[in-house]
Amino acid sequence: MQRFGFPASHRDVNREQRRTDSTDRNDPAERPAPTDRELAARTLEGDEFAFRTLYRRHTPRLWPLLLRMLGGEAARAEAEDAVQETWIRAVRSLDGFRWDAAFSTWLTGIGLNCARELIRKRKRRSETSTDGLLELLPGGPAPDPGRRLDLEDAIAALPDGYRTVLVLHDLEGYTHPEISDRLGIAVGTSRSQLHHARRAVRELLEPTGQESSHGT
Amino acid sequence: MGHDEIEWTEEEREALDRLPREADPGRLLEERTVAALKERGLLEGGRRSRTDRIVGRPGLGPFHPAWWAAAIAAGLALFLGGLALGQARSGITADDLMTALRSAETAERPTLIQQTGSLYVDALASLAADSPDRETVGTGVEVGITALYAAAYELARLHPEDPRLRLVIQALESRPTNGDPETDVHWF
Repeated sequence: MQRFGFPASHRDVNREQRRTDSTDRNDPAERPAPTDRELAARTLEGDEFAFRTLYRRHTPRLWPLLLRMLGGEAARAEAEDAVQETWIRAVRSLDGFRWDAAFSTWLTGIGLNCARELIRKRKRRSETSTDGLLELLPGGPAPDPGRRLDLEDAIAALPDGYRTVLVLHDLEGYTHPEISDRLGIAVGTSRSQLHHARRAVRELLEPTGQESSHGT
Repeated sequence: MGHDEIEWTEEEREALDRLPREADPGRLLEERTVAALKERGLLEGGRRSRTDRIVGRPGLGPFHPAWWAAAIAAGLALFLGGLALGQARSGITADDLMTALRSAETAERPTLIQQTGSLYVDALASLAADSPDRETVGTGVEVGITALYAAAYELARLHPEDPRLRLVIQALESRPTNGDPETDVHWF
């Protein structure tokens, strides 16, 4: 299975250290930055500064993941709700976090659950929304010829299920068994979703009869 | 299965690699999230209780004159560096500085912030030198302190571990008020 050389970011404990290091650049006294665990402990005591530090350390990574999962800029409001809800649940659950995984891993898991719940709500509101793939596959209605899609647009245009698997696998580095475990779907379903997702992205980026636009 | 056999081309992979993995959702979301946590009682709601807990020094309470004096002195010290060095002060307006700040290279920004701080101090010095009426002085002091608070708060966000900033913020948050919402709050 091609993994594109992306780090398995959800398991990358070293990322925690890199973030910690990055905060040191703002520290004129070069004191060691507080660890996630220290900040979490202070957040549990109600410390707003500690929470903001934790938030600023981890939200820049969480935000694009949830934004993409929910459908890109068109779903910005939902993604903002997801980020907020993620942090609310995280702070509520901090006391029970055992720190046997990286904080970022745990937070991402909460974020994924929030995003999936929002997607489920969206589906309940409009059951037909999952038929969007028909518009992307050969034989379906052609995308607006006047609009050139980039990769981000193409991912955003995928049906929710396909997009979720593609984002987790191809951008976040999850394996199919991990996606299966996280989303509660069969490994085969994950593979199938990825297959269809990639094909749909290609179709979007390379409309029939036009020059290749791979990678643009 | 065979369903995972579609592989990206090298070009497609590179395009995926170029997609940003980190992005800032904006300050408003942070504020909204903090507010939501406070509403749910998951963060301290009042500034005073928060900083009281952070600093919490018995025997030197928030209304103690020495505390107040030390806090203000510490806060002003944040700006006095710029005044002491006095670099490029003459002829620079606040508009000039803000324009420069927005376009400056990262390395230049501390110097520009220093100059902005000098302007702040100059403004206070000017107020004192002009011997204005009591009401004007009162308003000037109130606005000046609020500016000091806003600056200290932003600095604390940059460097939450700095005890000087916590000291300043606690003192400013716990200062006596006259109960008049029109003069008690000058927020930026």
